[in-house]
Amino acid sequence: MKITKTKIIFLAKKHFINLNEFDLNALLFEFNNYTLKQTKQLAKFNVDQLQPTFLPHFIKNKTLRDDFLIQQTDADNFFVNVQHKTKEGFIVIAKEKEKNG
Amino acid sequence: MDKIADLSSVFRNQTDFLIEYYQKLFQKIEHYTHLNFFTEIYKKDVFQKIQDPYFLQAKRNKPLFGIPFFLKDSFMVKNKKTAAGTSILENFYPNFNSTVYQLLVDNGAILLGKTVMDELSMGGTGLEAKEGIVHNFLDFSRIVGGSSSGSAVAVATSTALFALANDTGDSARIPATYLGIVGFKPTFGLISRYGLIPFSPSLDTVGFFTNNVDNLEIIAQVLFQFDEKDFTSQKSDVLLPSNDLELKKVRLMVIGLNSQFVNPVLIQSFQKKIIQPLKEMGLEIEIHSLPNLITENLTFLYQIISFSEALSSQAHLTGVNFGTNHQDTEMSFNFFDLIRANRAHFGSELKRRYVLGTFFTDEKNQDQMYFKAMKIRTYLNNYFHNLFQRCDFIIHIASSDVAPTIAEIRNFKKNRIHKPSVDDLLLIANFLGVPSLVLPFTKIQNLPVGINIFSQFNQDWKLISFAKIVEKMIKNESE
Repeated sequence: MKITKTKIIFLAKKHFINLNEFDLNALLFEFNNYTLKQTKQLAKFNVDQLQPTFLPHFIKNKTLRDDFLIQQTDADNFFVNVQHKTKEGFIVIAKEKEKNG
Repeated sequence: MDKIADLSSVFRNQTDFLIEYYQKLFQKIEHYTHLNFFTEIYKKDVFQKIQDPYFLQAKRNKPLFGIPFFLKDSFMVKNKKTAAGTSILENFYPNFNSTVYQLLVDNGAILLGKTVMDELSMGGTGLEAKEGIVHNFLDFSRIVGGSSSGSAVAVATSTALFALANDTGDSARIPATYLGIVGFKPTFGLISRYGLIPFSPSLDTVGFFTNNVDNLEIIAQVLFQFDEKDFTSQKSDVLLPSNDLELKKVRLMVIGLNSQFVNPVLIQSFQKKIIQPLKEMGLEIEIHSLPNLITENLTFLYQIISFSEALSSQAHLTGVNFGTNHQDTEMSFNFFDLIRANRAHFGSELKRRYVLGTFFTDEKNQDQMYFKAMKIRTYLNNYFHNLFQRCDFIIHIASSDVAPTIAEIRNFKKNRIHKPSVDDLLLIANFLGVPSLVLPFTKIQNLPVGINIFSQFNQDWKLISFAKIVEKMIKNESE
């Protein structure tokens, strides 16, 4: 796979960025001589069975504050739940799901 | 007088001395203006404050009474310009204070001004600020390191006793090694980030520079506070100072000795000035080689995680809600064209990082890149968790050589071929969320280089206690 100038311009436009010729050429060089090679390197990590880390706190699977509860459950269908304790009990205020594998 | 406790004590006994001290301090700041390390100086505010009877009475017994400090321009201070090194925020005046600023002034510290930083904390060199290059007073041809460049220069020139920084990769530590000062990054969640302009929320921490570890300890006591305004803030006993380190029981692990591209003089000096004396003090020392798979990918992992997170954490910087609107609003415009016009003023480094971040999180790539990086982060945590079963602290040389020249950095930017070295090991503390501290340990041709020590999650006080011992040992060795 090679990255073209058109692809880089497309990526930049997604975040409302206009690139001048100098920046565009520098990125083209970086993508094709460093970024894509490093991506292949990452494939050597055998981590498919691991759960992703979203925040360092989640590593510890701990409650940050008395009124908040963070859960990291269900290895097959990984969730991060952030719940806020109210008078009515815990309510989910954020939930992230990561696709299995 | 470079100790906070001593200076504060003098001010307590002689409040008149405050005026004389600050007059000399502002002369000194003026003398270093050419280094381009500050964005604004609040001279009028300072003199008003030190002559205010309420301040002199109410803050007299506070630990930071009268102590001068600088704040990186990424921290909000009410009604003070906060531009974070980017033109899109050049007219941004927040209407609230960051928690860290509030804690410092509540404890008697006096804000001198804001410091120059790489644009939105992205750069790592001190060359990327909208205000221009922050100069290295030790050698003008060399970089200061970044992104907290101005804060580091403020402390290294003794124009302030401490300065706040934020550390996402190594921003509060790489400038410390290049300028020969102490740089500290705490455990994730120990210092509130409320009011800090974010870069990469899962890596960002508030850090700071001091000239010695005693000062660092006092600042940590003030800043380690639970803050209900920051969702990631920790509420636990680890916030309280402790000094229960038993030196003879300390197990130390040395990494990075086999790292390529490290100046061999540094390795020799590290062995002689650090490892040998610590062995003689009775510490158990293990030398460990990290697998190449880890060391060769640390920078790339950092890029994937931080650039991807920056996309969402900085997506609000459109110039529409706040900040500078660069387009004449009288013109008829398309909303997205307006954002595009405002973002055209971003620097090259910022644009580069946004494009790469977009690539890493692109729908087709995110499983192989962003989520893979998150899983490797878990792998790293497991790996280091196992290492910490065998040691209390991990130590390494903080940079492969003295500060690189500006020409070397500009040349690197042309090809971007990264050579993995010990500098990359600083990133580990951010991935793991653990505390990390840089201390100066040697000089090559009068240019300093530091060591980095990091420990386990929430072991900040133990790390500070250990750093005090190492600092004293280095001083004794040098005499």
